Amino acid sequence: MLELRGVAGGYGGPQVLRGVTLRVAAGEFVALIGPNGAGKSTVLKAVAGVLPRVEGEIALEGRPVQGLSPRALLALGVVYLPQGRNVFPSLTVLEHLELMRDLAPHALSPEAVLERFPALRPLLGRRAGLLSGGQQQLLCLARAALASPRLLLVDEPSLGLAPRVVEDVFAALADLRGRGVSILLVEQNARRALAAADRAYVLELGRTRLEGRGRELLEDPRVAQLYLGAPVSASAP
Amino acid sequence: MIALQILVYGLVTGANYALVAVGYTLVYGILKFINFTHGDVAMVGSFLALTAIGAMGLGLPAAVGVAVVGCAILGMAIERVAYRPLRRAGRLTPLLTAIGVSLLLENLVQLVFGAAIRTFSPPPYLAGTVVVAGAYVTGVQIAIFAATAVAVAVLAWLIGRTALGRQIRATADNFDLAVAMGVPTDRAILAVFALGSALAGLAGVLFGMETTVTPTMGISLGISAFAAVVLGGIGSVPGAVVGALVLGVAENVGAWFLGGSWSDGIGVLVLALTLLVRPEGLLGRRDPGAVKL
Amino acid sequence: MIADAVVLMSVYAILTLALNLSLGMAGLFNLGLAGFFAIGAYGTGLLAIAGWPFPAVLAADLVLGAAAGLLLAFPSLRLRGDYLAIVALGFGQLTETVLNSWDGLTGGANGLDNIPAPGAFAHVSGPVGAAVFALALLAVAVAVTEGLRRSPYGQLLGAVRDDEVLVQALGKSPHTAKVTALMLSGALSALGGAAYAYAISYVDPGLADFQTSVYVFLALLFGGMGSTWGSVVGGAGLVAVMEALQLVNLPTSVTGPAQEAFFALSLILLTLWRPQGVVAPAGAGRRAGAALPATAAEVAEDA
Repeated sequence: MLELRGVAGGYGGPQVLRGVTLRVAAGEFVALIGPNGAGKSTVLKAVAGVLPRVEGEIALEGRPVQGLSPRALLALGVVYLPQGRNVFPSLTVLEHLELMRDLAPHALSPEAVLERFPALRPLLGRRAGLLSGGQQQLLCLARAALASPRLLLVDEPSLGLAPRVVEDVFAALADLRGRGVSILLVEQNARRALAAADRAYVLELGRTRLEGRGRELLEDPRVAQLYLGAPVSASAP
Repeated sequence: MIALQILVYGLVTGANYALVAVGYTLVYGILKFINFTHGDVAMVGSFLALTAIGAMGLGLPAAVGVAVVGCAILGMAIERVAYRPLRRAGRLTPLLTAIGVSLLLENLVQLVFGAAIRTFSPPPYLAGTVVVAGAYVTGVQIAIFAATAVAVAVLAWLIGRTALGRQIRATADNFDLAVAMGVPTDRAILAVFALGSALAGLAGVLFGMETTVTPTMGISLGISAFAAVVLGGIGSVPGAVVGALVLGVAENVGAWFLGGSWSDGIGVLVLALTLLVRPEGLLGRRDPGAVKL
Repeated sequence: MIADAVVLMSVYAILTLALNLSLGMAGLFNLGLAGFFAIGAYGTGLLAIAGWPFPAVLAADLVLGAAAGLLLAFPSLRLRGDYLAIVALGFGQLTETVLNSWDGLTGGANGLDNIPAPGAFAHVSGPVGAAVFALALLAVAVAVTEGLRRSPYGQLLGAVRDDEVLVQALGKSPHTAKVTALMLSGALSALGGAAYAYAISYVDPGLADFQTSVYVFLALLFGGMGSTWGSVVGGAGLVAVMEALQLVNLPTSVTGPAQEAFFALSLILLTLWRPQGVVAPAGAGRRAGAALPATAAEVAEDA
């Protein structure tokens, strides 16, 4: 589905990414973890077409997509959920769904999505700025689901949420995966991400350093070492 | 009945300001930028209508069409040429191109039409006058009220109920997120300039029927309309309309007591006083342009 | 002819220095410059006609300009920069309205005529004397602005322009710095008004026109934001082009608007294509393509 080979790039100053190689197979749930400042979010931005400078190869189903705008990527079935409060405060919940319906080529109806996110139904007319953080994150996921994406790029969906709500978020991600959506997830909460993902990559200083099945990496002492900042003499690219 | 008569004139002036004010508030809402050329776009609307009626012999409705479409195109052209290349250059830099465009429009119109003060005569079906509670209301004035009400209603529907309106509001709310989500933000911004400028064009025509038009009228019209926007609360469409009506009445009351030549100054004073006393305006909610520190 | 041009060159150079002080050095978009200029010119005219001696007129004029700057600072400086721009524009328009409408004081649309030349320069009367006088005031303006630019105060203004939050963190008041910058800019513009009124001996409300402000913005952009030398060359060069355009043999109904349109277009094209200026290009600290520095907050937003 998605393949990055030797991707480098940044915001115009020093390079943040210095060699990212990873792949996400069709229907696969892949997590990207790593210490603060490793460049995890920047990887998603590079794929999503919002990073000012990108070098290297990014291919979607074999087709090069680097330099495409978010809009063009949406047409190819890529949906990006940036980090933070991803709602438009003055638009209502329903308007968020309608907004995506108008943009995505294979969008579902808001009604179909509300079946899967019943918690949003009583909030349809409420402005998103008045929702709780958890409700906002659910709305983001519902909006993404409405686009019926083939690839979902999610940046730190659990940030700042209560543990119970985090479970809701991961349940929603699992549901999307169950429907055949490929997912590339960036998470600070490595334990939770590795538990949910099929496979994961560990990023350090702008490079992918380790790769493995989620649960294997959970046990891997090198992962802990990376998080503590010690350099790893690992072989994995 | 003088008071009532002044009120009528004030509301007519205010209705006209409202059409210009809405354009300021829309552009400010989406780009957080004061579009200094906006008053001059309305001025161009007046002269387009003048040409349509005078030189081309068209009727008033056709002249309105010419002015509205012409100004919409002009507004989009200004955004594309003078503002978009500077979108990442900070907030003040586009003001330089804006005052350049403003002076350019004034003088291009003057080169074509001369500096003389002009008026256009209303069509016969608007020539009548009715008496409402002792105040005279002309057919032109009724047309101004009706046109303003319809235009603002159409705008409110476009912004509040359509796909384009949702994209405009999303872009205004959070530009970066809108881009990341694939909202066609450039198109939304162009649409805002087109809508605002179209209403300014309509205002230009109505202005021409009620008062006089000159190539230099854009600046004082722009300042008054902007004062109305700030008075009502910048970024809010209902605020712009309310502010415009209040300011229109204030200007006419002031002109009655001080003499007509002072009415331009009242807009400036209202603007300064509002910024001093209540910068968020009458109906304003958030971001009154204050520096957040 | 040449002497008249020197007068106008000096006046525009002083005005460009005044704008450089507010916009170039402190980042304040003082679009009401023509208003300060007209206030200074009328103040000079009225007091000189009333028989005040030259030093008293000049002192009163500077105070008047500074007071006008303070007046403008009140409603606008606590708000974002573009608010100052439009309030200042309105201030200029209001000045023109007052000058046109307060017939008893200002002579209305006819303006003030026969403003007597200052005593010290009376013995070199005529166009040459006027030119020498205007140049002398320009020399004062250059000395003052260059001195300010090199002083700690000038550095404070630069810091306010580039990063207001940092200035606050250092315990200085950006607000005070901005208010004084606007007052100094007002006083300098009034000095330009004094040079004009004494040298030309006639003032009218058109001095407060928006177009004068735009011309000075063009001169400053051409000269390069922040540069004293660039401002002088920019202001003088602008007048040189104006004078050259006069030589084109066309009816005034065409040359007037054509000249304004030409300058307006120049301002647009310079901003788009050569925002750093021509004479003394503004250097570091500017983002590519920006004539004016973005605030630190805006830069942060972009990152």
